[in-house]
Amino acid sequence: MHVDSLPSQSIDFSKTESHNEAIDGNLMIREEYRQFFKNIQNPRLLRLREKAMSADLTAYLEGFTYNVKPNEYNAVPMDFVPRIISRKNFQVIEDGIKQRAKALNMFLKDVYTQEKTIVPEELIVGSEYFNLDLIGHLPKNDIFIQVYGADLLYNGDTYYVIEDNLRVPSGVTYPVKIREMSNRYLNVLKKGYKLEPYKPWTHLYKAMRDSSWVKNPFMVLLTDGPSGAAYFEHMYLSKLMGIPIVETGDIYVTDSGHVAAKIPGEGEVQIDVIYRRVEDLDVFVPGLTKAYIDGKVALVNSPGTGVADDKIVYSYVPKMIQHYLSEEPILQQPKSYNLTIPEELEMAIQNVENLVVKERGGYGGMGTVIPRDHPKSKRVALIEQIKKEITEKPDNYLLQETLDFSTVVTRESFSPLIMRDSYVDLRVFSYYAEDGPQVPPGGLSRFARHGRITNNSSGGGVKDTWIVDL
Amino acid sequence: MNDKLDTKNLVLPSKLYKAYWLGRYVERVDSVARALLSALNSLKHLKSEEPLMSLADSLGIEFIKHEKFIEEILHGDIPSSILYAVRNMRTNAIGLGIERLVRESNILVIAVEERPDLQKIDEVIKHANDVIAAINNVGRVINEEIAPPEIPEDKRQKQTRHQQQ
Repeated sequence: MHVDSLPSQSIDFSKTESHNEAIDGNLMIREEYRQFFKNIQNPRLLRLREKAMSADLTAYLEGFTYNVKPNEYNAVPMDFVPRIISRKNFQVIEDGIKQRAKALNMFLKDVYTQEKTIVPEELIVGSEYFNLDLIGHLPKNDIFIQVYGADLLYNGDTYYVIEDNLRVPSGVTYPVKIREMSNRYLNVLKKGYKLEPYKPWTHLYKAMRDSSWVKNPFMVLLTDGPSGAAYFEHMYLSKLMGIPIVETGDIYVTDSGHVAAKIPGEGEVQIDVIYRRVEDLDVFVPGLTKAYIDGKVALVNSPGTGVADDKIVYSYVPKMIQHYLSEEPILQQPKSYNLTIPEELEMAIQNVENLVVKERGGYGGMGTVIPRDHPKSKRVALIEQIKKEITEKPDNYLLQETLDFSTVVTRESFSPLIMRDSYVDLRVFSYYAEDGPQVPPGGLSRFARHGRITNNSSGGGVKDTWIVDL
Repeated sequence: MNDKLDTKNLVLPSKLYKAYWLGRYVERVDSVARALLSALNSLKHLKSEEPLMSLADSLGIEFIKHEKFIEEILHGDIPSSILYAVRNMRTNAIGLGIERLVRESNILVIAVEERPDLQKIDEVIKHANDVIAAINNVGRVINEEIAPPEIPEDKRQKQTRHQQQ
C-alpha cells in the first residue's frame, strides 16, 4: 500500500531524516499500519471527524485534564491514530524492562543493606534521593520498586532506554483513557486488529497486595489533591482498582505508630498499604517513613528508590545487569558521559553541541536541554553556558548522545485526512509482585508537537500503543 | 473491622470538605448570576444603572462604567467574579470524583468563559441566562448524586413497622 493511495497531501513529512514507524523510505505503508489506513478510508465510515470531536470533548468534560495553574485545567491532547508495535518487537521491550526492573531492585537492596555496589559510594550518598534512615530496612519480598516506568526511544532497529522512573512514575492511565474513548466513539478504527487488552491496574493492584505483611490489607492511593498535575490519573486509578483515594490531610500516624484515617461514621481505620503518588512523605504526613520502617504500613514505591533513577546512576545500569544477573542488557542505552571522570568530561566538552544535557535530579523533561534543537543564533551562547556549568559542577549533570529517534503519524484532521510526522517516545510500565516483574502489553506513547520534547507542558500529546500479532 | 468497610464509598474528611465548598461556590455563583441578570434587565428596560451600581457596591467592586463592571464580575481575576467561583467549584467537583458532576462543572466553566459583546446588552443577558441554566444543571446533578435518596411513602411505612417489630 503506497502513500499515493491516500488522498493527496494528507501526510506532511518534514522529518525525512528519521525512521517513520508507519511509512517506509519508499513511501509504502508498513505492515502494522496497513489495516488502520484502510479503516480510516472506508467509504462507509461516516462522521469520523464528529466522532473524534465527540471523543475529545467527552474526555475533557470527564476531567481528562492536567493542571496548568491553580483551578485551571487543560485537556490532555489525545491522538486517535495509535502507535502500533508488533508483538515480536514488544517482546524485546518486555524482556528488557523486566531485566532492568530486577537489576535495579537488586541494586536498591544492596544500597540499603550497605553491600558494596558497582556504583561509586560517593555517587550514592551524594544523591538527593538517598535516604539514610532506610539503611537496614527491607520491604516484603525485598521489592522496592513495585511500579517502574522506563522511557524508550526507537531508531528503527533498536529500542533505547533514556530514563528510568522509579519514584512516582505517571502516565499509565493515559493510554487506558484513550482506549476507553476510542472504544466508545471510534471502535471502527480497530477493525481487523486483534489487540491485547491493556489493564495495568490489575498488575498494580496485585503488586500492592503482595507488598503488605497483612493478609487482607486495607489499601489506599495517596494523592496531592485536585490541584496537583496528575490528579486525573490518581482518581481514575483509584476507581479502576476500587480503592479509596486519600489526601495527605486524611491520614496520620497514630500513637501506636500505625497509619490511620478518621472516617466520619466509621471511626479510625487502619491503613496497610499506601500507593503513594506524592514525594516528601514526612512533610505531608509526619512520621510516615518511620511507620514504614517499623513495618506498620507498606509504601508503594518504597521511599528512597530515587537513588536508582538518578541520572548518573542510570549510566551504570548496563553494568548492574551484568553484575546482578550475569546477562547482557537486552535494551540499549545511548552513550552517556559521566562527567565526574575527567576524560569523559573532556570528551563531553568537545562535543556538547551534539549531546543531550540532563540535570542529575531532573525528571519528566525538566532540566533537559538539547542544544542542537535551539536556534543557531542562541546556540553558541547556550553551549558556552553549558560548558561552564558542567565544568563547575560535573556531578550535577549527565550528558548523552543525541539519538535520531523515530516518528509516528499524528492526526491533524480525519476529514479531510491530514496527518503529520512527529517524534515519539514510549513509556512502558513494570509492576513487581511476588511472582516477579510483569509488563502489561502497551504503554504511553507521547509525541512532540514541535521539536523532540514530548511533554504535555511542551505542547506534546499522547496516544494509545497497540501491541499486535502480525 | 476493615473487612466490613465499604471501601469504594468511604466518605473521607477531604471529600466532606470539598462537598461543603462545592455547595458554597454553587450558591455564590447562583446568587451573583441572578443578581446580575436582574440588574441587566433593569439596565435594558428601565435604562437604570443603579441596580448594577448597588451590586458592585455589595461585591466591593469599583463601578466606573457598566461594561467594565460586567467584565469584572463575569471574568475578573478577583474572588467575587463568577469565573473565579466556578473554577473553584470545578476543582472541588474534580476532587469529589463524581463523573457527572465533573462534566456539568466543566460545562458551567465553559459557559462562563464565553465572552459576550459587552456593548450589546441582549447578548450579555443571554450569557447570564446560559450561565444560570448551567448552574441549574449542576444543582440537579448534586441532587441526584449526593443527596440521600428519597424513600417512597409505602416503603417508609413498611420500614417503620419493621423497626417496631
